[in-house]
Formats: sequence, C-alpha cells, structure tokens
Amino acid sequence: MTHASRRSFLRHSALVGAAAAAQMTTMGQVAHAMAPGDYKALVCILLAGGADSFNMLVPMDASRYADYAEFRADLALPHNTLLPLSYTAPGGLTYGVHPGLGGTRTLFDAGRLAFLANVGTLAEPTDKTGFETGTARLPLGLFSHADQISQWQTSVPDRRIATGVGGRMADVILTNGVPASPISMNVSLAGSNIFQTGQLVTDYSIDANDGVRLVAGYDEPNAVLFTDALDAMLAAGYTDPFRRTYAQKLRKAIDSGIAVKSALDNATPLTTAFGAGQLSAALAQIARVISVRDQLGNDRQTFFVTVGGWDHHDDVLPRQAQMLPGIGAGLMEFSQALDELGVSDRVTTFTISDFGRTLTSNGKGSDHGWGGHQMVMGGAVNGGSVYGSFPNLTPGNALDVGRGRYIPTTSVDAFYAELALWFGIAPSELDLVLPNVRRFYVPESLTAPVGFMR
Amino acid sequence: MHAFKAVARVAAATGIALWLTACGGGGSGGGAAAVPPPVAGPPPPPTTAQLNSAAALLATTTYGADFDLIDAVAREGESAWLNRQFAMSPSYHTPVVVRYLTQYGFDINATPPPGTFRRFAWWEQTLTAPDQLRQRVAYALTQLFVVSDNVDQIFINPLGLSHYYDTLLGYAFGNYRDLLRAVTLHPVMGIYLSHVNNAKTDPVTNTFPDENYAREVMQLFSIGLFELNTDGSRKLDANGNPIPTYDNDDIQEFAKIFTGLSYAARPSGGPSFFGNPDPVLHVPMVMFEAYHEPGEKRLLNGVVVPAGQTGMQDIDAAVDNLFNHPNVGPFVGKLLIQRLVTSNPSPQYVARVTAAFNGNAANPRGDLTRVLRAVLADPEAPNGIHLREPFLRYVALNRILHAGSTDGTFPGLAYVAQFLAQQHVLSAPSVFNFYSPGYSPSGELGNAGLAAPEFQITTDSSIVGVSNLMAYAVYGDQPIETPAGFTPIHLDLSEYEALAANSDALLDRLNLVFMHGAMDAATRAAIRNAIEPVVNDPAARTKLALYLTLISPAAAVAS
Repeated sequence: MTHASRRSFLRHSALVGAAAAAQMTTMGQVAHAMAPGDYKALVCILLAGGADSFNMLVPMDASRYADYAEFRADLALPHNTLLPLSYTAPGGLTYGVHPGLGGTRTLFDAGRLAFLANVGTLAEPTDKTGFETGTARLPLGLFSHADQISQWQTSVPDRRIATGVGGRMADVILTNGVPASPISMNVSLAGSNIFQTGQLVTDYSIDANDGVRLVAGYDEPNAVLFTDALDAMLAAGYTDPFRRTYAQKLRKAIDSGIAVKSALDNATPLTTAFGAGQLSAALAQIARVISVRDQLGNDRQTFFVTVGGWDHHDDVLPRQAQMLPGIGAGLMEFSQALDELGVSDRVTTFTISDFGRTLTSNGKGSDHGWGGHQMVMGGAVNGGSVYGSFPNLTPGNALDVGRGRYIPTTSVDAFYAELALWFGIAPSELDLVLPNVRRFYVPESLTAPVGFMR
Repeated sequence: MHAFKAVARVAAATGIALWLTACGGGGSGGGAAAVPPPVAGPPPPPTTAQLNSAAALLATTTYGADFDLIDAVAREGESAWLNRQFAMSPSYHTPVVVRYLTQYGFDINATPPPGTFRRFAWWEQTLTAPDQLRQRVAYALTQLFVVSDNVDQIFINPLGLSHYYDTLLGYAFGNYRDLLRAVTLHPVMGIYLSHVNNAKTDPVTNTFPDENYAREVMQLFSIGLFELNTDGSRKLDANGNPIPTYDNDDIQEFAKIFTGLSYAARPSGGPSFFGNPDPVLHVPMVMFEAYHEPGEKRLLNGVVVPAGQTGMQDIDAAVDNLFNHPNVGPFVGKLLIQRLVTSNPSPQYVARVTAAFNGNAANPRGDLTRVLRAVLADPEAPNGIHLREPFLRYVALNRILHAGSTDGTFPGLAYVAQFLAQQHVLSAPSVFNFYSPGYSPSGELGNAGLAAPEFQITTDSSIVGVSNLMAYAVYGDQPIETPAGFTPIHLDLSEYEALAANSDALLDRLNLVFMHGAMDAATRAAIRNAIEPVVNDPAARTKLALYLTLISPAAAVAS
C-alpha cells in the first residue's frame, strides 16, 4: 500500500473524527519531527487472568489499612509484611506493596516507577447511580475475562473490535510516512494479540525462549530446489483466500525471521543478568531486540508480553506470594538492562490486566472485579508517586457496585492517551488511536491526561 | 548470507542434509510412466472422484487416513462407514494410563512423571483406536468444554484428564444434557473453573459463592452471550441492539447453584469431606448439603428453583434450564460445525443443525448423534473451508505415515508439537480455548468478514514451528528423544518411496491423501519442479515431495 493510499484508508476509516481528518494535511510535519535516532518503545506486560492488584498496592496509614483489613477479611495481607513506599500523599496517606514486589519498591523509591490507582475500562465517565439505574453506558461483558482482557487492549469497551491501541499507533506512525521497515514495529513475545493488531500492522512474534525461528532448510545453499519450490508456492495466486492468507503469513514469517535472526546473531551480549522466570526471559529477549533497533530500522517499537495465571478464585495469597517476585525481579532486571543500553528514557514499560478483583473473599480467593492498579516504569516516568484516585475501602462506598467491585476512576483511554502522547502520537492524532478518548480527555487541552509521564 | 549458518545448524541437528544429492539439470524425468495393467476381476476400483470424496470425509472424521483406509471407505460407501463408526464402542484412555501406572507406579519425581501418562495414552489411542470418529469428536469437545493441564493440580494427576477425556468420549454420541451435567460434576472442571469446594454465602466472614463456573457454563458451554435465532444470527431489540442472554444478577444466582460440591473420595482412604484437599480426580464430585446455598434461585427465562431442594436437584434444575434454552442448538451446533467442517457455515447450514439438536416428536432434544450426522452430512459440508489446527496437522502426519514403535507406545510425541507449534490437546492457555470462534485476521479475510479462528494461533513463530515439525518428522525421523524404557518411534515412507520414481504417481498419491484432490496447479508444479531433478534416489524424492506437501498452503487449509 502506498503512503497515499494508506492515508486515504485512514481518512475514510470509521475511527477518524472530523477534526482529526482536518489535521491530516499537517502529518508531513509530524513525520519530520521523528528524526532518525529518535527512538522510543512501549512495553506492555499483560497479567492475564485479572490480577488481584488491591493486594499489590495497599494503603498503610492506620485508618485506611483498617478499612482494607476488614473489607478483605481472610485475604488481607498483614500490615507488618507490606513493603512501605517512600511516598506520602496529602493528608498523610501512605502505601506499601506486596512483600513479593521488592523490585517494584526499589524502582518506585528511585523515581523509576509509578502506580496508577483504580484504572479500568469505561465506556463513559460512570457513577454508581448510573450503574445501578442502567442509565450509564457500560463496557460490554463487564466482569468477564474474554471481553475485559480484550477491552484493555482495544480501549474500545463499548464495541468488539479487532484492532488494539498498539496496532492503531503503528498504523498512524506508518501513515505519517516514517520509512517502513520490513519488520513490524510491533514485536510480540506472546504470539498474536489484539493490542498490537492494526489495520496495516500486525505483530511480529518472537518466542521468549527460542528467539527467532527459521524454516528448516530454507535458503540453505544445498537446498536450492526446496527453497525455489517454497518460494513458488508462497507466490502462487490461490483462488481460496484462506490459502492466500496462509501463504502471506508464512512468507512474512520467513522474511522477517531471516532479518531479525541476522541482527540478533550479531548483537553485542548484554552484561545485565536476567533470572529464569517467565517475565525475566521475555524481557531479556526484548532487551536484545532493543539492542539491535538500528538494524531493524524502526524508530518506534511496541513489545507485548503475557504472564498468565492471575485468575485467583482460589488460593490468591499463596499464589501471589509465589508469582509476584517474578514480576518485581523482571522489572528490576529490565530497568538495569535499559540503563546498560542507554535507553532508559526511551522505553516505557507498563502493566495491564483483565480487571481488578472483588475486595471481598469467596472463602478461597477473589472473583472478577473492575478497576485495579497498574504500574508504569521508565526513565521518562514521573515515578515515586501514586497517580489517579485511590478509592475509599469501606464496603458500599460510592464506587463499590457490589462485593468491592470498583467503578474505575481513571479510564483505560486516559491511561493510553498519556502513553501515546509520550510515544509521539500528536494530540490531533489521538482520535485515531483512541476513538473514545474525547469522553474522558480533550486532546487540544495541552494538559496531561493523567500526569505520570514527564 | 548471515542466515545460512543458523539454518545449517538446524538442518544438521536434525539430519536434513540429504536435500539435494541431485545435481540439478538432468533429462526430463525418470522415464515415461508405465500404465499399469487393468486389475482383473470385480469389483471395479473406486473412481478418483470417489476416492477424493472419501478422503475429504475422512479428513474431518478421523485423525488422518492413509491410502488403504481411503480406498476401503470409497469401496464400502461413506454412509456405511459412518454408520459403523457411530456404532463402535469407545476406546477409553484411562485403562492405558492405568497400564502405565501399573508398570511404573505413582512417583511424582520419577522419570517419566505420572502426569505425562495421560499424554502417552492420548497419543496411543489416537494413533491406533478404531473408533476414530468418536475420538475426533471428543477432541472437538475439548475445545468447547475447555479444561487444561496448565493448572498444576490437574497436570500432576495422571487419571483426572484421561477420565475427563473419557467422559467426552462416552457422551460424544449421547445427549448434550447428560454431557453438560457430567462436565459440570467432573472434578477436573471443578478445579479448572473453581466450583469444587465452593461454599454458600457466609455473612459472618463476608464470603460469597464463586462465580467462575456460573459465568463460563453460560458464556462458553451452552448459550453464549446473546440471544440467537435458529440460524445462529443474533436477535435484535427494537433499537437494533443484540439482546444479552444473562446479566450479572443471573450469574450470582447460578453461582448459588454450584455450591456444596467436593471430591467424592480421598486416594489415601477414609471418607471425603467438604474442603478435602486430597482429591480423587476420576470420580464425579458429590454434594455436601451443609455447604450448599439454601433458598430459592432465579434462573433464566423466569424459571425459579424453589427453596428446600437438595443441592443435586438444584444442579439438575440449572442444567435443564440451560439445556432447554433456545440458544443451545445454534450456539453449540455452530461451534461443532466450525471445529469439524468449516469456519463460515451459512445461516441455513446452522439452522439445519439446530433443527437436528432441537429434535421433534420422534426424536429427543439434544441427541448428539443426530447433530453430528447433520453437521457431517450437510450438503454444504463438502465445500467447507477452515485452516487446519497445527496440532492436528502433526497428528495426521503421524497417523498417515504409520508412526510406530517396537513396543507400541508413543511417549516421544507427548510434547514436541506443543514446543514447536504451541498447541496440544487439553492444554489451552485458558477456558477461552486456543482461539475465539469469531476470530478474523486483519487483511483480506477480516475485510471480507470471514471467521478464521485457527489463524489466531498462526503467528510468525508458530507458522515456522509447524513447518519445522514437518521437516523434523520427515527428515529427522521425528525430532524427539526416546525416554528411557521406551523404543523409538519411526515413520514408514515405503508406500510413497515405491511410487517415487514416477513424479505424477507420487504427486497423485500426495494430493489424494493430504489434500483429498484439492492440490492446485501451482502447488503441483512447484513440487514437481523440485523433485524432477532428483534422480535415482527415491528416498530423497519422497522426503522432498512430502515436506513440501506438508508445509504447503494447500495442505494447511482444508478446502
């Protein structure tokens, strides 16, 4: 697709608001603003299953801790096990993190990491009356995994759409005429995902343990007949669109694999050591890819990694105790690797999850909730603070729609708007990336959507 | 270039060095194909069209059919063969696991660990059992009633998942209502969706029934999210919006139903009890009334379960409530069509399967044999198109090429497909299966609004991985190490090597067996051009032709 036709495509896309379309003519200037060497990357860590984040960030001041302990009952973490954060919000409000999140605390206290409290999917600003009377427009399939895990990636909770935030950002950047690399700017360590799927761009997948895989024999000097035959099969004009699509995907995988493998084979090894955990392995692979960013030829990259197993209807306490240290350690190691590469200010890492969970217990664990807390890490993050609005933890409070399911006080749209603006998406392009953003934020306001980025 | 070294390493590691012993060029082929003399005596051999038709049916009703089976079914007749398959009794997997347990004992730290026995049994039965249709339908059901060995407690127990699979086998041709009830009471499902040891509301401790199973049994196993017409399309309200089948209040009511269940026994002996952490996973869960939510429960469509029933009566009422919901026919019917035949059935096709599910005066509602016959015998079925699952491509390769070992076991196959192609039966990443039934990849298929679920796991790494799985199988004689105590697994390519001297005969056979005659001209020309210069080396010819066939877009897509 030519740049002109890509632009034409986006102009006619349903995502384009009138104001944004009017701004399209200035996109050439935006493209110039992204000079070579102006590298930025976003790393999205999906804690799949709906992490119980109300036990990851916990109020420690006496009054709010007492509310927390009563609400959570058998799920409450003892006060003296929490790791206190060096941060006091107005009114003497203090916080601690789960005892497994030592790495997170170190990064937070060093100003490298921020929390965003009670963020979640919203179709529009919503209050309890609107929820209970049915007048509020609500996310589809609220409290269900399939919809919520998807809406956290699409940021369009009132529709089921096939593109995600990272994919649409890549669409905009490509449309801006940034020279396209044959390698997708969206690199997945978790296979196909909605977050990185756009209209023009899909993910390039790398295996967290194996790295890049190549088709056995392809391009081998003594396999010319095989290579020629496979090339011919992948170039054939099939009448069946399924065969055509499969051929295109295998062609793309082969070509991208050869290029990425070559770049990684020639990369300078990192001295930062990574642990053996699932997140560590994936982030180590991402750090390697970032180290060869110049060879891959993308000034902007997104990375996507999934760490699953957070659907703790059962055993939330022992399972979080087992799993959270891998998150804290992985973030810590990745931060060190980015320092080593000299790109700490250029890479921003954030967590997402299907939903928060019920504050009340089901006797064994917690059930599906709504708003939850997320982490943002990087040199460009205004770290060491808790952003958003940490909710009142008394049962039946104005945000509690039952069992401690919290109406989010910050929308996923505002969260992504902050990240997208940092990434280089112009305010005038924000509608393309976040079709619902104007329900929560005025892109022309020139204020920060949330404030956690410098 | 830079990539050569790495590829060569992969190739060397797997013995893929024989690609091209041939010095290209050469004359135009290995001599004219001799026309075989006509076979004397009746009955006449099946026509190519009959063979292709039989091969197409067998591609969806077995795990893979070799030439002999295709030929036999073409001679016997497809409906006669299907009738025999529906009449066969199940080849259960649990007895095979028990054989392994008898042989090796139960020792979590042993090699091989007992948790792998269910995979050994799955491969053994899948590659050898005669009741292929039932086995294949049970596989489809694993992607409807999803549980997974990615939960430790399920993985380490060798009998739980094999018994769950046997449950699907046992009810595959039975009634959907009985199947839904059996799945609901299965302890593996109880662990997976956390309704085992799920207690009633406790106002003192401020705890509530777990909602996990209540939600997923509706969303995924029975009725889906929105009210459906019999043809599978969504009903719309006056404003043109879809109509949700249930809301969160309904989920909380169903959550009350699924309280009080726990394991039926303890392996260490003694009576079981609610909260028993020492489970037997191959006996259905039982009800502990003291932990079952009392009071009435309001189900769907105005049905109220009265207070005072036993817990099992409540569960039966809820199963009936879901079973009788008009959505089940189109919802489950369309999923079965997608898993067995085509990604995009017409509304008329779905409606015909719904009618079979709904039954009539002479036939009960929910008869899965009738539903399956409607799915498989539909006039649209022969034109069905879907992307083959990576895992099933690998299974078919092993069946068609007669994977075998001296001791008749297949432990070496237990993990390799998962490692390379990221898929294995009963090992989905979540209850939402490997892919969503409505998934449509961006690009041409998405623009045309066509569902293509299996493309959701067709990533850059898995599409290369499944290709390499084929390479390793054909060239490396399986990419696997034989665990101690077992004999190695080998493929048998002799049938194809015997044809290899004649390119057209070889291509005809590959076309029939791997593509039921749907090989397009470009694919045939590409493979032909590759093998023609390979002369006087039937093994090299066969392997090259097989590898190219197996990784071709034409073989990846069932069409």
